[in-house]
Amino acid sequence: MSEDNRDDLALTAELASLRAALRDVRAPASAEAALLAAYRARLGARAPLSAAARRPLRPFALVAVALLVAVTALVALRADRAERGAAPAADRAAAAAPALPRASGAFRPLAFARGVSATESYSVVRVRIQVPTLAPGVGGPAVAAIEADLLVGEDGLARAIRFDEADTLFVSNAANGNGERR
Amino acid sequence: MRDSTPPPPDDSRDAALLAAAAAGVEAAFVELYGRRRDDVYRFAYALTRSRSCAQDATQDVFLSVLENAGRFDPAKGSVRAWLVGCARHIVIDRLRRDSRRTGEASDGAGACDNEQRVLTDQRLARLHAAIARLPPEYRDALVLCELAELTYAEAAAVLDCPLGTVRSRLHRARSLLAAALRKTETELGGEAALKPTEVCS
Repeated sequence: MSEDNRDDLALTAELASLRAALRDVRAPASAEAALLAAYRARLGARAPLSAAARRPLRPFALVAVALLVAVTALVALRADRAERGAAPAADRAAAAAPALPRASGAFRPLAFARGVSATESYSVVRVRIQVPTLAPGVGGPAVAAIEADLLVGEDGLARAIRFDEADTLFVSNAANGNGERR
Repeated sequence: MRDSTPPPPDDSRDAALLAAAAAGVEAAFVELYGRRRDDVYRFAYALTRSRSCAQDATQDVFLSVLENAGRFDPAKGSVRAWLVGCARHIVIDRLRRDSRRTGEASDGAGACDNEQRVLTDQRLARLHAAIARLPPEYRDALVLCELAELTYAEAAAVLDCPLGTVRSRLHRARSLLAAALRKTETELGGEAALKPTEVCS
């Protein structure tokens, strides 16, 4: 057996002896009272903070957090909808504009005609009217015309009329010698 | 050596007491202290060879339960090992603050009655003194594994290092210790001349 091995075995034995000896070492009991007093003091110093922080705050904190989350979610949702809705709506309106009924104004009652009743049914008839027939004194190309919708009753008599705003442009173009509809 | 040592069967009781003590249950604190104070004190004494230092460290460890119990992780080891780890930090802080600790005479010979009875064998006194003079990383590994009887895994958790590092430090500590003891024996002509009171000085 080498010297190192003997040393190692001897050291192991001595460490075991020291370990056994230390097992008899005991903490002094006199410290317990002081420790307990210190524990109570620390606990007491911590308790008021806990009580003040937890009891009154917890329910309000929960409600406040819930409200905050709800409001935030609502605002975010609305903002999102507005953001998503605004641009596409504008795009849709622009894209659909040509397809919309071109007569967008309200019907105006014709003079000397019966009024419009909600109980009767009517037909809408689109007509093209030569501008000179509407205003004989107004000069300009004879081809200038305007389209209008007539509200015709079951008796075949017109009750109301509405002009297409887009036709204003048509008339204007026609007056400039450009009869193409835009 | 003690890799496979299972944790004490009542460790779950310790864990429950620790949680209750941290929550402010005084009875749990008293019971936990009664169960583990000697372990903590013994470890601190093994590390410092000072009864007063061990006593202060023990008190600090148990008071720190209120603030630090949440750091206990049962996956890393027993409550006992965790308390010993707390004691190690406290002792190291004390040793750093008071570099005169090792070998100082502040405790006085009269304060060492218990230790005089325990360490009557001069060889053990000499061994204990040699352990205290080891470099801290080797000293801690040796005290944790050989004297406080923690498993290697528990010691690794306490030292915050891999298990293999614990083994290598322990091996190195034993080599250094054997060399130191050989040197002392040579200087003393083969006789251990340290007196028990010197161990506690």
